[in-house]
Amino acid sequence: MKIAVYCEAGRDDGLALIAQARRMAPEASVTALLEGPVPEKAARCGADEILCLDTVEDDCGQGSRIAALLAELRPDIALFPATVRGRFLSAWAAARLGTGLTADCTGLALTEDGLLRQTRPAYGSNLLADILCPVSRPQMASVRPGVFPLQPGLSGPEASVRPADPPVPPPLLMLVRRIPADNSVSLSGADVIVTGGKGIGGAEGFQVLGRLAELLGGALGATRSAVDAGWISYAHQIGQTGVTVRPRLYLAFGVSGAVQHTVGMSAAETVVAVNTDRHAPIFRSADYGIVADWRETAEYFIQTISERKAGI
Amino acid sequence: MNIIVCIKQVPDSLEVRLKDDYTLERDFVAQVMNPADESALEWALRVRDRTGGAVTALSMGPARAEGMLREALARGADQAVLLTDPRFAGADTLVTARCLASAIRALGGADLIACGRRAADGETGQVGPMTASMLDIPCVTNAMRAEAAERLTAEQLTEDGVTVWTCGYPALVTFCEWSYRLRLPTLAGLKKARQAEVRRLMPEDIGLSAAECGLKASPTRVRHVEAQPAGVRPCRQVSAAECLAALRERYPEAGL
Repeated sequence: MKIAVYCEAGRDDGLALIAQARRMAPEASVTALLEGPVPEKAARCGADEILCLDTVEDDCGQGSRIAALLAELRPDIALFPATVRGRFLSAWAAARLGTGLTADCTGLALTEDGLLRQTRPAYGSNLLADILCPVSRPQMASVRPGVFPLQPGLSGPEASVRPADPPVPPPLLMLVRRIPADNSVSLSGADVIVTGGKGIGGAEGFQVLGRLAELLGGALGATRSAVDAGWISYAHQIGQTGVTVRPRLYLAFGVSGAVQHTVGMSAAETVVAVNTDRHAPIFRSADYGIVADWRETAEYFIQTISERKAGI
Repeated sequence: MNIIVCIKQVPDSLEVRLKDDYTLERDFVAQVMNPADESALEWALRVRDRTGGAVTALSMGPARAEGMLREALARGADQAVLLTDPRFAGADTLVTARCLASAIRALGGADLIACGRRAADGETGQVGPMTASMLDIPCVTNAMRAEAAERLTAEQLTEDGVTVWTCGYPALVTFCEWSYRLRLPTLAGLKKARQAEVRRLMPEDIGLSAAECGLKASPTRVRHVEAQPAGVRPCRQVSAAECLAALRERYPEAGL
């Protein structure tokens, strides 16, 4: 069995996917399609071979080049991280290859027949579906970042590295510029996350929660409805359509607890939920539930913690 | 500019009921226009209002999707086309994109194609870029904003911020739910929508054989569906003070 894994420049999600490919199919030969400079940790990430793909600043063109590489490699399985870019490239390539692609998987396994069983949530995460691609090849999937942990320091043979330079097609897109997001703390690596939902009532609420997050050295998160309402930027969104997080402490204020949100934070070590509605579903995902006004509670936390820090 | 907007009818609520045979209960659920597609439609209407041309709303789905297309007409679309036929049913994302791309070609193409970035039910976000790939035209997904001038400029929302792209025409853009708020229908629009013809197309009208459409042609197969288990943590109801005390005990180093 042959598995190809696309690794996006400057991100670790692809390396985590290689580790999962190894766990799932120990006998398979795994090829990394690695974009950009080869990071040191890639050498022993579990791949047998690394194909170095130079970056092209035209995602359509890069998608076509990845399709050409896959057509040449003929893997049984091709995996992509389900980032905005990974999802675009996988869709563009799957259309060219005329094969099946399953979006945003949260589980991968092999069936008894050696087919890739792709598990993904749908309907606002109310359902989990198992999807197969029985005939077409490769079986393609994009996998939600953060679902599979990155294997720190695999021992094993070092991967062979060779350049891959499929021809660059005439450009379709031109990159104008990249504008970095405003959040200074990365959600995916944060130990503490303070999240606000629709219940906090407006953009001003995030200033209060931002103070609490800062006090705890944590990051500020948001639910999809708070982002959709325009109170805070998408970079803060946690859940199915945002990032998946695994902090030690997760504090949820005014969050109702829709499954679409809770799938993104269910791996947290300890969850505290604050909501005035004692029947809010978030309490089913929480270790500690406080039935109270979010603002009173947040301000109490801020005051008590800052007094303690000041030694009062 | 001539613009085709691809829209999908989705259940109004994502509370899913499974029937005894584990298929989805769709019959008693209200259907609405997919929220991200509303955003795409509004953008298309604004471009047309400024540059002239026409907006065509295109959908694939059961006959009842005609109601949603009439709503698009009431809100300002110039014409509506529905791909509807039992042979289209059960298509996965690849085959849906194939049908849409074939229909767009059969309609004579367009300067711009606008889609929602994902459907609220399936949430794959694949049909837009797959359609563009098949048409071999530039595509920007996840757009927060786009401007159609001499060239098209679109701002794509990513995990790390915003990426700004430009390209020539024709091009396909997929929009976020909140990018543009769809205008209300006008009285004249409602009247027009009642009288307008919604053109229906079948596989042979878009140059596809039955073997290229629907479930039969789809490479992926859903093998099992289950409702997600809810609630795994035993929640202790506490006061704010009790909560802080418990957290201090658990995380003495956290500075709580």
